[in-house]
Amino acid sequence: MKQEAIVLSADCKLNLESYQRAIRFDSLDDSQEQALTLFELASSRLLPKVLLRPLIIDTHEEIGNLPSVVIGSVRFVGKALAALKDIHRIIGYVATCGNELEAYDLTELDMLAPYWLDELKTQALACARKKLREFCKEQYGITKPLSLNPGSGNVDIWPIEQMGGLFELLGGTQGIGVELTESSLMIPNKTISGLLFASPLTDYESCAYCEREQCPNRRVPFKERL
Amino acid sequence: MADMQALSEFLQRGKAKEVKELVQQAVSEGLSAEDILDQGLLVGMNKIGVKFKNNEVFVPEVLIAARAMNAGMEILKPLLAAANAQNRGTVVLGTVKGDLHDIGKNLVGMMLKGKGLTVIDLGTDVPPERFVEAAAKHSAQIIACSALLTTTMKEMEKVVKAVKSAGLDVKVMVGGAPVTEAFKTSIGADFYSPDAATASEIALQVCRNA
Repeated sequence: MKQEAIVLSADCKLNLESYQRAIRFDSLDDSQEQALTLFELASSRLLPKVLLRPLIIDTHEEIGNLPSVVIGSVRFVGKALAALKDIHRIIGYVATCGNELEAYDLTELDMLAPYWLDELKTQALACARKKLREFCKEQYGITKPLSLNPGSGNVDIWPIEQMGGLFELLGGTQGIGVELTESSLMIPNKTISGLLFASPLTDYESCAYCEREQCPNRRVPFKERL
Repeated sequence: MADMQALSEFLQRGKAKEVKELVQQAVSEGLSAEDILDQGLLVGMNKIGVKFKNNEVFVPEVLIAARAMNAGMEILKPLLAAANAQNRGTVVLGTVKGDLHDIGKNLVGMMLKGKGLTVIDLGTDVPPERFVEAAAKHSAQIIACSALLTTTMKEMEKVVKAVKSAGLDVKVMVGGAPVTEAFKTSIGADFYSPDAATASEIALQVCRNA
């Protein structure tokens, strides 16, 4: 039976101390007040949200030696899809920091204000991610979720151009204020998306297949092969 | 006498207020804007760039240093403009298509302006044809492309091809975390820069030779 998409709102209390530490608040001299104002603004306006939908994989195939899955009318192709072998139930999702400050004019503020806002949006996204994990644990019993993300890792892992297919399966993301650009980038920039699943047979982590070994956000060591 | 070493150190610590005061003092004492830039501000930015490369400092430290540099540049900009009445050259700058990261690009932009170059900043997620159009429109000598992701650095090759097929006499410089000299060679770009300071040196050299 086809299941409908679900929208979740995440409770979020932005952490002032970690924000101040991240933006090196003590060095900001005369701009400290601006940084605090932005914190207050983000705290009162940002509404992190999640859109998710339980999905069934109809077919597992190989297309030109690459693993592929078909879900409804959408076909995904890429090395990463090998992780879905023997998996039939997945959850498509988009989690976002919220678009409430996307149009906010920062031009009159300190030149670092866009980075301060990014830091706050990152915190808000963490709230959305937490909400997604909690919901999947409560509703579907997924205690250790794995996630495949279009565009994550090297280009042949799962090309970002297939993001549109994921959005199509979710039935549109306007409800949570997320847009896809022509280049398949998500706006707001602090948004994540993918297919979430549970499997005792794999420890898939997209980060492992990205060649950028010195990345400050690296979670696991680089692996040559999937 | 304004201490250029102290200026460099204040900049590295992100002390914008102190940088501004020291730059103002140096100007009042008759030091040329170019000397203040070369011996104080750029020395500081170069050092912070090296520390960043060696993982001794991280992005926030680079940002507050850039902010301090900007504070100094606000004083120097009109003086540099007056000294370089003739434009030293034009650079078209942008983060390639598919990539929204702009910290590195903005640092490069700041350093380029510090060298007296005109910067046409196209922003992020820039398709190859926009680089080419802007280079032609502004008669640029160099296109500088930035990418943070291994997934998007391949877009740089499309920029190189677009420049070639447009028949433009403009050099292409590439940079960003995953980019290397070998990658530059493999896509046929003209220059690779490992950091913002080097990018500005290369761009100035290209413009002088053009």
